[in-house]
Amino acid sequence: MAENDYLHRTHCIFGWKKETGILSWLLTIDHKRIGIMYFLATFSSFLLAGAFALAFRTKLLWAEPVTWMEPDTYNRLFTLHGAIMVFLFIIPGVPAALGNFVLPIMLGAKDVAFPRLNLFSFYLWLMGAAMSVAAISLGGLDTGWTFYTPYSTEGIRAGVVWMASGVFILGFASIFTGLNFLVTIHKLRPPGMTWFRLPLFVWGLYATAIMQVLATPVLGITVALLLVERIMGVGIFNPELGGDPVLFQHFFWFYSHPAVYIMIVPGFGIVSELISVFSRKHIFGYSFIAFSSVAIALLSFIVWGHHMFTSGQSVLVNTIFSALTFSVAIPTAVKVYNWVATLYKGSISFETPMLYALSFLFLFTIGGLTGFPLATLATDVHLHDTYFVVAHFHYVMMGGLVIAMFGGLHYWWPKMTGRMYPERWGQLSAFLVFVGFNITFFTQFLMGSQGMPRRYYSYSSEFEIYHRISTSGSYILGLGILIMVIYLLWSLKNGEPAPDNPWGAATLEWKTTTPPHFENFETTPTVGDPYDFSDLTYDPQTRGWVDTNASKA
Amino acid sequence: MNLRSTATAIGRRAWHVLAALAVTLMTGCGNMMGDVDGNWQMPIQASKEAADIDWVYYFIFWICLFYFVHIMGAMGWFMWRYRRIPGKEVEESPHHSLSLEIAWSIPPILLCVVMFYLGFDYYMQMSIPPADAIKIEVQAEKWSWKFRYHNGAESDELHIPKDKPVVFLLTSRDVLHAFYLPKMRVKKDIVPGRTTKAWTTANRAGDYTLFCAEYCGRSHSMMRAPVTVHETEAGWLAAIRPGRASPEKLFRMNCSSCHSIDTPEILTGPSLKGIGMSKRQVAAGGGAPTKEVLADRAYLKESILRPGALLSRMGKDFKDEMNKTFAKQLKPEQIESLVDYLLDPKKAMEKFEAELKKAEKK
Repeated sequence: MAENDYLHRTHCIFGWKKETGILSWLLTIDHKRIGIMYFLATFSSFLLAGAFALAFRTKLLWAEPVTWMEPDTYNRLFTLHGAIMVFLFIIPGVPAALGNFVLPIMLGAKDVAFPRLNLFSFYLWLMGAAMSVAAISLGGLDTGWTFYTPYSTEGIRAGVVWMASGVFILGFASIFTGLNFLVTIHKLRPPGMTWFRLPLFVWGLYATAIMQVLATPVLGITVALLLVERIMGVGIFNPELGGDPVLFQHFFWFYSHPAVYIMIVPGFGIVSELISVFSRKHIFGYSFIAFSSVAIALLSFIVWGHHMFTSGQSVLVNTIFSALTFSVAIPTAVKVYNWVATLYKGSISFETPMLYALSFLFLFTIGGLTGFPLATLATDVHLHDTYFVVAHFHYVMMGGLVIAMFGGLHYWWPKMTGRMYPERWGQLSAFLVFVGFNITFFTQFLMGSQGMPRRYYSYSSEFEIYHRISTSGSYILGLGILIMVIYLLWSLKNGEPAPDNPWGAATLEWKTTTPPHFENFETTPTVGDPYDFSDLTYDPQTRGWVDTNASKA
Repeated sequence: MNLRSTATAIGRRAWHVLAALAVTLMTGCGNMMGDVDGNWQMPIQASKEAADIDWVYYFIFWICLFYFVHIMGAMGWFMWRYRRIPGKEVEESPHHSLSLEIAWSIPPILLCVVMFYLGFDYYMQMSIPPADAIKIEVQAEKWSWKFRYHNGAESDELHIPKDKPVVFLLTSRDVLHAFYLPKMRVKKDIVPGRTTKAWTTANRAGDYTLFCAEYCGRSHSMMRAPVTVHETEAGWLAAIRPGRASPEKLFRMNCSSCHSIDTPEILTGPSLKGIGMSKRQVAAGGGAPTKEVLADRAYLKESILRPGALLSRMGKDFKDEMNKTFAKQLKPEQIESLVDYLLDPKKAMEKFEAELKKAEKK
């Protein structure tokens, strides 16, 4: 049986017969292997960008300039931190890595709708990543991840062309993944898998895919216009050539605001799975969680102007965007309430994935609530471009998505690798990440509201104490992640063999073997309610859960 | 097992570290409050609007705190109350409830409307300066500020009177900047090619700092300017009395963000310490090797008016970043004065003071 799992057998592109070895991975069209490759690639980007953050946070221990890090180096580091985190890690991180692995199995499908396009998307990602790395070596990039014009179009920045081209290509990788998932969810559901039997992670990926397909082209257009201006000198954004720099901001945020939700909505999906499974309770308000994801996806297209309240856009436009922005709060609040209600009368256990899910609830609630003073016009004027905003979006992006992703990673790790990770180490690491994260970023709310501007290399000494606490927190956070990386690698060889269903979950990926069969299922699984745990009982012998109903039949 | 005992040991140590951090955090907070001297989360209120904005902020803060506490309270209680106990079955409970969904959707909708309205109302007040407000032109460039007053005076320090509405007309000579006075709660982006406006009524005399809040490159974080709010209008007028700027001030306002004059330190551009009548290696152009020239009056003037024509090779290679000419920005006598200063700072200042005395006698 083991020789039929996806680690030992695969389908390759062009019908090549390759089952193992590096080529069998590089040429595979199996969504699971592509998902693993995507995971390795995006997670390496995450570690790299995280290391950059630790480097510039170390500079910020001192208010004054330091000799060992020039302002130019600092500026490059925070630019790369942001650009790599956003474009190389967070956007593809959950959909293309975890989503790719899990989605078809959750649906009960053999693969995604377009397996070759899936592989192509991965190679586009690699190409885009390579160009971004080229941008680093070509004199660096110091524009901030937002590439605001006219600073980014000034003559001396060679890195911008490379980074922008890289982002353009990464955009296509993202569009193809989204397209693939949309078609897969619409067309490859087996009989019995109705829309309301879809696991909520699939709903999350569905909402994400809508945004990836509709919003990412705007990023492509913006970046293309930027290149036209850079290379051909046509005035689009640069006022010296007759362009308008604020236009660039509109274009940029028209994509990048939906992108924020591209990043977070899959996280909602993961958390819905985790909370239900580890409480052994049916998810509360299934349809409200599902539809609120779609509602957030749609609203995400009409709120971009809230990034520009002080940019000089008109008072009327600011007013409209402020009002629209508040509307996002409602579906978000509905979600949080439903998750908490799921815990009610459950049987809650605290394995690592659940610790991350509960951390998510805590951090995302803070991230969401601190959005209010930013959506409110009068207060945003003061808070905009300060550390308050930095803290807010780290609570949403890192505290929300990355934490949910860590939860998902531990949850599906046994399924992906066939090995359990060491539970105690997992809990310790989750605890360090939670504590370190809060020390790092909560402090930034405090200094932000006191008026500490963001992207500052040196700063007023009154903020030194805040920065020192924040930096200490980031070391704890880094340590937590380092421990995680070490034990996950350790578990690949030394972890206990994983049962088919270690958590007692009812979604289809747990009804196949561990690791999954190379065509996902040996026998067609029966599709039921994804959150009905009543038929599952714990089997101490295999240390997994078995479906008592199925064994009877 | 070995693994387990190591984990416990680390866990115990983690608690010690955490306790130490908590203590630091608390004592740190004490210090922070003392230093910043604001009202808990916000800095000092130094403008008429600040109190209103802080009121809106704290109003939202308490709503957020209420939401945070009751949601996290419920979560914490459920985590404890319904923790998994071996052998205990899950209790039956409903997994959907339309009335609950409505119940927890309505209050946020209402609160959102209130928060939006408050923000909008005060924002409208912040957006419309009174017609009789004092106008000050603010010109931002990498990486300095210049302020021009109604009487023609110019300075690199911002002076405003207390209790008078002041409107700032903001322009940029290069890239995006932002005009940020945290203690007045004022922020506005400065967009090249446009004039944007911000206004405030300072109500607390004292010294403050103006920050650039929109990232603008290398010395973005150093793009700050001192701000003085004067108790009386007379004091304010005295501070902005027009007059010839000293050569030192001219240098500070136009050159010092990229060139140092009293140390050999290389900033964005080469140091100009002792440049007067020194020998300079410059690029000859046309691929020819560098040539040596004497930094005399003509050379210095040329470098100010047509920078890039004579790219210096002192210390390291410089790119042509000084790509703007000062011909329009400076009056001819100001350029002469600057050249004097570069030739010999001390002599130039003595000359300036002597001239000032002469003018006063007249």
